Amino acid sequence: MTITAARVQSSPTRIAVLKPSTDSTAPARPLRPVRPDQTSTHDPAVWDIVWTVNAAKLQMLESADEGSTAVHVSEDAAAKTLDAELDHILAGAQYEEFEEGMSSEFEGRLKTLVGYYGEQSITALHARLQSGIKSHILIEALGALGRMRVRATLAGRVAVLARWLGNDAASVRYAAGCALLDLDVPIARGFLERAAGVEQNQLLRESLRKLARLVR
Amino acid sequence: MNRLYLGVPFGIWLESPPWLPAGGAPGELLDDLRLDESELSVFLLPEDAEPQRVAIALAGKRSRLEASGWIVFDLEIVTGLAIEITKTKGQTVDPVVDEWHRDLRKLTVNSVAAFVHRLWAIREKALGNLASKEVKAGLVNGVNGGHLKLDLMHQAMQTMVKANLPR
Repeated sequence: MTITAARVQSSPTRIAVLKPSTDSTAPARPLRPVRPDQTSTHDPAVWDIVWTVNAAKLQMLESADEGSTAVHVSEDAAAKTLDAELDHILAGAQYEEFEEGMSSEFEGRLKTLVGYYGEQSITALHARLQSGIKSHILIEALGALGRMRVRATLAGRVAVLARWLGNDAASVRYAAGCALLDLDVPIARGFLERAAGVEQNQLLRESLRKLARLVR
Repeated sequence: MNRLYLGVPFGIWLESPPWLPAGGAPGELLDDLRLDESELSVFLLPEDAEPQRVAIALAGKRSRLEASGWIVFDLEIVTGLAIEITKTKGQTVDPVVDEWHRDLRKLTVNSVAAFVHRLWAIREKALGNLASKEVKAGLVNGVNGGHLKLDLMHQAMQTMVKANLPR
């Protein structure tokens, strides 16, 4: 993810507005780590509050320098921290054996990361998953995205999982479909029905149809 | 026909990778078999039994709700490869399913490879799966109906079932 266009205002309630690059699938959100329980994806008023709180935190944490350079440095640092943590988690996953139905350390760490960084971590994870990661780690990550209950990241997780429904590998498409069901949101049905409609693998097509029927 | 049930990751068994030679089977299937002391757990399904019951019985021992896959195949595949099969009590949350448990024993690299190869060839007609929601419903209904043992379940499943039992 490329972070662009930090806009700095004098008011502490609007310190920085960050836009992910256009290749991002997740909606734009402030880069500052955000606790999921403080946010609602769809309520701008809540975002105002979140930004105000974050702005106050930022002012406490950053130098007295009100210039944009300090803010840029901080945003870069936060992005680097997220990337480094993600690298660490994915590196650890290479040495873990995943078993159907059994919790994994990888999933636990991902949940913690997403809970702390919010939407940015979903965008960053999606980018990282596209960079040639082992399929069993990818499948575990998709499952984790479906099972986690971080409301503020729901839109991003739906977008990411819908994207992976179009992957070349049937195992990945199946994992994305299962994860969409696990999100437990009605919007998943449309994605699953569309995927079933174009699915060439008969077994997977039937499974995707079943998953779509099971969405509430 | 005597049918055997083997739990497999459904997604991995869905398609042949493009590089796979005709008649071959992907090596990664061996990873997921999880042999223990050269033995492999399977279940001998009675004539009227559904494989779904085994999948749910096994899911009760797991720590997270997840889709569950299996392959059901003729016992002749095992006997034809001269693989030893022994009745041993299962460790699921369904005492009836426990009686269906069998171990394929004294497996060698050669016999496992031949076994997986045979299963891969029949998979399109032999694979099955339950979605996570079906597993959840099966566990809750099984406890509610009295044929699944709540106290044998993984703590996470016990919590989930208790939260979903009708009041």
